[in-house]
This record gives sequence, C-alpha cells and structure tokens, in this order.
Amino acid sequence: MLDEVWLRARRVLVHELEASGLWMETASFNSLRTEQKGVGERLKRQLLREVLGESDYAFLSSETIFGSSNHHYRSKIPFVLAFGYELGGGLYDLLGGPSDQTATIGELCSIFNLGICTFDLICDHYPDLFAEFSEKFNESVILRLGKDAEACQTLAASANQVPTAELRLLLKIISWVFFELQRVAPARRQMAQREQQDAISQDLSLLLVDAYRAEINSATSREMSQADLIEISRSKSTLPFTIINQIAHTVAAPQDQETTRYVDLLASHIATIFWLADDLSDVVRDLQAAALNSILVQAGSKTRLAPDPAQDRSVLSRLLDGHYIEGVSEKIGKAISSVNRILACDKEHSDQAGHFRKVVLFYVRSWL
Amino acid sequence: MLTLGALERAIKAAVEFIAINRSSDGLWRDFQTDAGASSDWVTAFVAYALGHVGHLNDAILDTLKLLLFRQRPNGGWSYNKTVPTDCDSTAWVLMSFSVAPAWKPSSVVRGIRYIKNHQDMTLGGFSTYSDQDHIDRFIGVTDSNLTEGWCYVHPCVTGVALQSLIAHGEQVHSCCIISATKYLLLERDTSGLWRSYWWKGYGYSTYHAMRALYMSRALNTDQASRTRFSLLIKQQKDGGWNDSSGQRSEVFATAFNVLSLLLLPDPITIQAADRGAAWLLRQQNSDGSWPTSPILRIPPPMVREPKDIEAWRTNQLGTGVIIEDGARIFTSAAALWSLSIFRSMID
Repeated sequence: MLDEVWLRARRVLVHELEASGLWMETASFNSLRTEQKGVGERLKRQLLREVLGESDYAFLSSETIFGSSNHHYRSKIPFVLAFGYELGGGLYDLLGGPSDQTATIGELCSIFNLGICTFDLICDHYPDLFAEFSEKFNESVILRLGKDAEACQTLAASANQVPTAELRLLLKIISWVFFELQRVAPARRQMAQREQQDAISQDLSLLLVDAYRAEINSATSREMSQADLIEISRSKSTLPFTIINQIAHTVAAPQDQETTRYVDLLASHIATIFWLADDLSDVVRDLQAAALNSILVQAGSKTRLAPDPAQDRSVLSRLLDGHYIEGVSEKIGKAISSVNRILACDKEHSDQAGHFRKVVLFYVRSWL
Repeated sequence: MLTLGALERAIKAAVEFIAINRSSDGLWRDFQTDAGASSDWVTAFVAYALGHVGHLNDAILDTLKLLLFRQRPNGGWSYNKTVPTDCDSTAWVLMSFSVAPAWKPSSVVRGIRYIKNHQDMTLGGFSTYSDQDHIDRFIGVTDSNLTEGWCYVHPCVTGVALQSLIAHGEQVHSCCIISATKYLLLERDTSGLWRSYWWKGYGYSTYHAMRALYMSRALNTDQASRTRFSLLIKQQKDGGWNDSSGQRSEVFATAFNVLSLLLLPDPITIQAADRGAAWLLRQQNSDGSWPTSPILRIPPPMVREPKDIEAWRTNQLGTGVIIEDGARIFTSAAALWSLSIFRSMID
C-alpha cells in the first residue's frame, strides 16, 4: 500500500498536468534545471557567503549541518535560493517596479526563502534546537526588527555568540533579511507614497508574525478539528509566498489597483500550487513521520505521538479507495491553469510573464 | 593552497573513470575474495559517494533501481549475489537510497527492519551478520563459535548502520539510536579515534562513527576536539595520512581523514584538509583513478579482535588477509567524495 500510494500521488498529478499541457517536457526541464542551479550556486557563492561570513559559509556546505537532514538540506540550497530569487524578482517585475531594483528584490527573497526553509526544518525536526532558538527569536523580536534598524544590529551581534552553528546561521540570515528590508524600503519613501509604504511595511511585519505562528502550530498541532488542521497546513505553506509578494509590493509600490489585484491573485495561486504539491509529494514520508499533511488529514489521519500501524493502514486504504489524491491533483492543475491565464493577460511584461510561467512549471515538476 | 581549477579537473577525471568502469549490467565491482568480487556492497558505496555529492545523477538513479530489485526476501542486501545478506551491505544500500527518490518505500521499511535485527540489545552496536543470515552455513562450519567475530558488533559497521537508520527517519531519541551512540562513544580510543574490524586503519571507522554521532546530535565540537587533535598531529609532512602502522601516506586513509576534518570546519582543519586534498591530487593517475593499497581486512571469522592476529597476508584469497580494491573503484570513489566535499566548502 505504501508503494502504491507513493506511485499514485505522482502518477495522478503527472497525468493531470500532461492532459492539460502543463507538464514541462524533459528537455526543457533539464535545461531549466541547469539554469536554475547556476542561478542558485551564484547566489550561494556570492550573496550567502557575504551574509554568513567565511566560517559559517563553510559549515553550511559541511556534512555536519542538520545531521539527519544533511544531504537533503545541502543539495536543496541552490534551488531554494533560485526559487526565492525568481519568485521575488518575478512578482516585482509584474508589479511594474523600476528594473534597477529587480535583482535586489530577487536577492532579498532568495535569502528569505532559505531562512524560511531552515526555520521550517528546525521547527519540524529539531525540537531541542527550536527551544534554544526561541530564546533569541520570537514574535516580539519580529515586530521590533520590522521597525528598528538597531534591533537588526543587536540580533546580528548576538548571532555571533550563539554556539550552535545551525542557529547562528539562521539568526544571521534573519538579521540580514530584516536589515535589507529596511534598507530597500526607505528608498521608496522619498517618493510620494510614504504613508502607504508604512502601512505595507506594517502588514509585512504582521505577516511574518503569522508565518512564525503557523510554523509553530504545525509542529505542535494536537487534537484539533480537521478544518483547523488543514488551515494550519495551508497557512504554514502559503504564508511565505504571501510574504514574498508583500516584499515585492513594498518596494515596487504599484499605483494601479488592478495590477496589485492581479499580482496578489497570481501569488495566491502559486502558493496553493506549492502547498498542495508539497503535501502530495510528501504524503508517504509525512505518514511515516506523523507530520501534518492536509491530504492525510482529509483521509482521516489523526495526530499521534507514537507509531500507530493500524491507523496508518486505514489511512493508506482510504487514500487508495477514495479520491483524495485525484482531488488534490485536480486543484493543482486548476491553479496552474489560472496562473497561465493571468500571465497570458499581461501584455505589458510578456517576456517576464513567459519566463515566470516556465519557472513555475519547472518547480512543480522538480517538487515531485 | 589548492586552486579551484585543479580541484575541478581532478574531480571531473575521477567521475569519468568511475563512469567508464561501471559493469555492463549497471553495477560496480571491486575487491576479489574467495566469494568473488563484491557487486551490491561496492555499488551501494560508490552510488552513495557520488550521489551524495551530486555526480553522475542519471547513472546513479539507474543503478539504484537495479539495487532495489536485488533486495532479498529477508529485507537485506549482500556483498554479492552468492553471499548471504549482511547488515553493512544493507546499510550502504539504504544510504545510497537516501540520495534518490523513495520509489519503493516498503523496500526501505524492510531494509530498516533487517538492520535493526543486527543490533545487540546489550551492547548497542551492530554486527555484520546475525544467526538468521546463516553465514556459518555459507562458509561450511557448524559451530557458531567459528563465526563469532563476524557476528560480533563493530564500530565500523555500527557507524554506517546508524547513519542509514537516521537518514531514513529513525528518531534520534529512539532507544535504538541512543544505545548505538552510547556504544560508539564507548568504543572511541584514548586518542579519540575509532579502530576498525573490516578495515586496516582508523580512517574509515573514525569518519563514520563521527558522522553518525553528529547525525544523532550525540557529539559536539568540544567532545570532538580530541579526535580533531589526533587527526591533525597524525597528518604527515606531505599532507597525506597513513592510518595503520606504515610510513607512506595512503589514498584511502587520506580521503577519510580529510572528510573527518571537514566535519569540524574551522580555519585550522580546513587548512589541513587543503593539504590533504593537494596530496590526493598529486597521487591521481592519468586515467582519473587513484592508486590503491591493501585496505580491506578479512579476519578469520572466529576472531573478534583483529589485533590478536600478528601476521596478515596481503592481496591473497582466504581469511587473515588485507586486500586492495584491484579495480581501484572503491578507493577512487572515496577520494572523489572527499575532494567534492572539500570543494563545496571552499567554493
């Protein structure tokens, strides 16, 4: 049953996307893979090295970092950076922000994306590290960092004193992201929309708090209703996309409400795609690890502290007998079609929209 | 200091050597013994060494699919298709699966169960064979005392078994992992190194024990300082290491000692690793391989402590021997692994 669920989760989605012409063909996929890896490796070598400093940069590539997840984490880094870069820079371009800032926004979002992935890993798999981490970083720190440059410097200074390398590294990433957010936002404040900008920055801080809460809720969720569990799963996976979109808005400051609405809708569909694709591709692993997964919740999986083979078997049976996998695949297909439709309407940025479409299709395939 | 260009050229040549030397059936073979050359175990080691650092991805995936179908009904894999299954080969296969998509999760579940059956519940370590493997029947003995050494727990097997379990989601706070880490910590000698049963020197065993302990979060940098110190003082003037009693630096020992130092990255260990990597580059053959030396030890099956044997024969069949990997694939994969990790940390 385990093997059949694993296979079906992939097969059904691939068939769904192939049928709608949304499955990237292998030649294009391989070519884009090389390109994206190159983008990610450049960001790692140049930007991340600057963010972390030489010795923590070496540690990031060592076989020691996040021991049990080492291979997965290290091999993902270039793609995590490239995905954040493409997403942030892409949304910013579609919002019509000045092109001299695209790379800056892309870089900021690439490091943000690595930070959120690292935080996610700590929350989900390293409770002892999380306990240590929360002494340095919590909701009130986020709110302070959002409006106070000095708080960023204080966090950066305290990061250097942290003996646990994984946490030191994450704190350096966080302080850099907030510092950059403050650095890029004031440039726009000289323009006419200062009040609007402040409101957006405040929204960003609140979104970051929400994302922080969602991560914690997903790691500690127990005895909740099915609807609440699915909402936690959704928030945890989609809020990082909302934040990247908000970062793009903060700097691009679009005047046109229609553009804002269309980019917001685009970001929301992209968030849904990757939330569901993630749950679909990890359905077996999450069942084995008793991790929160919206598809498993729909199929009746209850949170548990100890292995429960009987429950696992009945969840697997329901996944095979029911239409949970088909339903999720259909939703992903619809969301990708919506992304395509929205991008096709953007005649003003057709080159950027075309590239953005390819990037989304590439990451959907690579997610599996 | 090594240049990145030289390092990349060496890595490229090594990848080509390993790719060319894959058998036509998609497996790698090396080490000639009484039981023939190893296929499954060597293939799993090479697939992990390359896949872990991102080389030959497509070839590795093809090979792993082949390995998947070589799993025996008891859940284990073996040295080759004629020999009974063993914990070390199975652990290496699971390690290699950890760098690929989980095509057949049930295969991993059965592999994990097989490995766990080789843990000594009292000592915490893992043995190569258990009674259920019937290695006694294979080598033609009836008295179980005559396979005592091969059925006993050893750090070199435990280090890899532990990594394979953790890489597939075994919780580091589980009894199985905690007792195995306690065993490994007890087995560390006064100089902070781990002796090996199946390998001539301490290099392989020390690296895998350290990595397993780091994965289990059972070793911190302070605790590892003794190991770090020993590895640094044992580095030879030429930059390489000899991890047994010899004087000349050896590729296999140097590859694993460089990897061990890179588990503890700081300016001093990275500088030492740089010298080790430079030595490795100087030893590389023109075909991209590295010269081998006798590295794999096959103690008589009843012997628990290899140090009890005074004279080992080299490169001969039978037991009581230390043999080289004649095809140079195993040593070359180890050197490639080491150089690739070094490159990723300095690039």
